[in-house]
Amino acid sequence: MTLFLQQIVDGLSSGALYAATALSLVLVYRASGFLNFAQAEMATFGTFVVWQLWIWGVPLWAAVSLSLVLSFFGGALMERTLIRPLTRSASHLTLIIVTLGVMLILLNGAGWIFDFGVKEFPSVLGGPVVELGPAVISRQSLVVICTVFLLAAALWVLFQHTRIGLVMRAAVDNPESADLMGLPTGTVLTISWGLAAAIGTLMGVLVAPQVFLAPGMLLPTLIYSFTAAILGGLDSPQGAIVGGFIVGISENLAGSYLPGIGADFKQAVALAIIMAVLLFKSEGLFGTKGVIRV
Amino acid sequence: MSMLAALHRHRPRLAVSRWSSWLLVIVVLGYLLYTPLVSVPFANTQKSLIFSYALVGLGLNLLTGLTGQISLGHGAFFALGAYLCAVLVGNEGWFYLSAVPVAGVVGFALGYLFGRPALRLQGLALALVTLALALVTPSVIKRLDGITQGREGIILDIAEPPSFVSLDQDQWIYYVNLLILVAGFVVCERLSRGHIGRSMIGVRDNENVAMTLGIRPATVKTRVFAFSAAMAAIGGVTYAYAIQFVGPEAFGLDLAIAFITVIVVGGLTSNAGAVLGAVFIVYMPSWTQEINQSAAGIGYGVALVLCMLVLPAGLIGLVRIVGHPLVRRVPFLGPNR
Amino acid sequence: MALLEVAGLHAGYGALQVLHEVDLTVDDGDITVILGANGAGKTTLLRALSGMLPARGSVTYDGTELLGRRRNPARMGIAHVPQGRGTFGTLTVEENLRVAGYHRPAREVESSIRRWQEFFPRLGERADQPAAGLSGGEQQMLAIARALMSAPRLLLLDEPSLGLAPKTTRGLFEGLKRINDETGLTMLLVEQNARLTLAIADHAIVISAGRTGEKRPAAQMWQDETIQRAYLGD
Ligand SMILES: Nc1ncnc2c1ncn2[C@@H]1O[C@H](COP(=O)(O)OP(=O)(O)OP(=O)(O)O)[C@@H](O)[C@H]1O
Ligand SMILES: [Mg+2]
Repeated sequence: MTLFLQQIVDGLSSGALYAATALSLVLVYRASGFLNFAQAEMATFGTFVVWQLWIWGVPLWAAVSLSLVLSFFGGALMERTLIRPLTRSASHLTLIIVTLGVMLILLNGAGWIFDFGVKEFPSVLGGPVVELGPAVISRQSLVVICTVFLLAAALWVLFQHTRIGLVMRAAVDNPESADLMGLPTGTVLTISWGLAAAIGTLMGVLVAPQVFLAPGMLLPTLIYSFTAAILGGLDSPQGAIVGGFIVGISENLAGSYLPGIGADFKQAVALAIIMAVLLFKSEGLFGTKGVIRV
Repeated sequence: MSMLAALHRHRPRLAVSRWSSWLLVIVVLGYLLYTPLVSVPFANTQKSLIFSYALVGLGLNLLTGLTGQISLGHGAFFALGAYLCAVLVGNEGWFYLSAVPVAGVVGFALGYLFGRPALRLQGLALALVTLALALVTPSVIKRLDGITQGREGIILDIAEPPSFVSLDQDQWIYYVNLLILVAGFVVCERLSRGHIGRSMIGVRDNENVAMTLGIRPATVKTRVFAFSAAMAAIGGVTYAYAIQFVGPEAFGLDLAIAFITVIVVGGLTSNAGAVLGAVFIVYMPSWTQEINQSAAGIGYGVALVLCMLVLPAGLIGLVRIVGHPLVRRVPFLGPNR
Repeated sequence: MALLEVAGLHAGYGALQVLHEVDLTVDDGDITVILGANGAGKTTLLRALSGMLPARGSVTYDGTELLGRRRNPARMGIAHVPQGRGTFGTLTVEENLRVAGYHRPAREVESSIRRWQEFFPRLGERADQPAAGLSGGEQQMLAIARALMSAPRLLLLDEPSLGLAPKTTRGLFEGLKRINDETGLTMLLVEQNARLTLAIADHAIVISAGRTGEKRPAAQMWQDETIQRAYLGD
């Protein structure tokens, strides 16, 4: 029983980690209708910037703030220079390839600048583990879980209750009408990319103490983040969280209880989930119907 | 901007006179046949590796370039071929060339099984599913450690040159891989022209129109996927010949992206482009490793982005830009009148 | 005084030239209707006016030349209700209205929403439903109300009667007339339905094969025999 509870708690911790990247994916998907394959690497790069500033003696909060701002502009710049010129004319294939290219550039760029060795990264909240009945959870994990919830709530408010969110939804619904009405669709797109990048960096900073800061640190979790986003419905921030937790918990339980799954085979379960959701219920748990063309 | 438009313009394949195309084939083949005799083993192994990537590129070119279906997951089939070869030839002692048809058949069958449901998806959804396939490949290999020897991988010593030739092993493997590539190239050239090629392009450009012409898009897509998986598996066999080692970490996301780079940089829709792309991804690291070990990855990334933004036809597009005026001006080079 | 003056307008799709030498004027406060058969170029004309298609010639709106400017005509007070309505199906009815007021101060937006919901009571009743669930007539009302939310000076309407029952169309046109009477909003309407449109229009112009005819008072057009034969089905 204790083991079981501990597995659930661990599942929540890793689920929050997956949801973190999934949230950025959802935000970009919401705004531009496709997934940014470079998202995880952008987050890692932003986290490296924090680390570098921190090493240079900048206080952690200041380093994080500065890097968030830089990430915002980085994401916005990417949208303006690489994505915008292609979105009107190009197919998904083109955009996927461009974001994969950016991923490679950032991954190896981080390796070049900061080398590929693992870096120690400060926790925001250190100290002893918290006991939840018989199970334990680290303070940092609690921070991650809370932040993920706050971010999802913030995104929900952004989409549903702000002017910018309204324009975002209108622009995705019917781009031509939105342009015809003179809505600032371009600006909103740029802001979404910037925000997604900043959210990525924030989450990167929070999970770096657990996964250890290194180029590609989020790659092993990338498949789970995609699974979380798809399971949750691709355009729903709540969905990203629920999807993340479902994936996290079931992955932990399957890994230790289902005979023959084992640590290595868990990823194949993720593949099966992705395929099943896309084939049979492409709007996922919380997404809008027809959210992805399948 | 007009410069950009010029780069983006679609150019048909070069029309050259019959004798000049034969001359080109003879020169290229002559070079390829001669060069391993005077090169160091490392250079030969590198070229053998180019041939294996080119095989994958040829299959992907039919799938992505002509039929318009993206796959990021062909690393899985490449791994399949490599491990089939390692296990059957290396561990079970089968004759090394028998791995080629076996990989072809098994690759086709598994490609069909995976492609059947997967190709009901399109665009982004298909990309995600195949990306997931690429991401899980290393862990599946590790999980099947009873067969694959898990993390350790399998060290090979296969494809000995026969006793009647006086060639070193690296030279012999070079010729074997070259022969398989030439055969694959000829098959793909035939497939991409004529009726089959037209039905693939029909499916890519407009499935509904294709259907009215009596083409069944689902069937075409699944078969092309299975065929390209078979090509990837055969490529995997030649990879095992060239490297003489298989291990799980070689078959992850990096490889998936490398394959995409092959067809994008080479030029989608061109078989010759797929070969040029393979040359690019093998030589790029050796050109850049003096700068930094990360430079190759950055090079791939920049190449992908640049191709999409300014040179959608890839290297073969460059060849055509230079080639078309040349063919028109130089007498005898152009098509016979 | 002319609010909109079009002279020598050419437009089309790539190599296909659809509009040839279109000339027309729309007077301030008028309802002007452009009558034309399927494929005459009506939609193309409106798209060219609101900057969705590249065009040559001259389009003067309120004294300024529109062609060749980067500014979106929507930001200069030209609202366009496209053929097929173009409402945002996943947004609620009220959100459709709110987003259209994006460029106006928040207080004005709220009072405008209330005003148009009163004018089209159905939109008030269905405020919180997704627009995709509306009937065809309700969609058209929403599209018009949405255009009005931007407080335009010139309203371009592309075949608002398309797909509506004659009775619904009549109600809609009466509504348009009422808006025109109450606010003096200038409207340029393209239609195939001559009978109903001529009843509310001040002026009418015929377009055929991308060429416009002479502008005439609607009442006079009503009498014209060729028009009667072509559009009134007599
Ligand atoms: N997007 C397009 N691309 C190419 N040609 C087009 C396009 N839209 C319209 N056309 C052509 O332009 C011509 C005029 O079309 P337009 O839509 O302006 O007609 P219309 O008068 O609005 O007709 P309807 O009453 O049927 O809406 C037609 O011949 C049509 O085939
Ligand atoms: Mg029309």
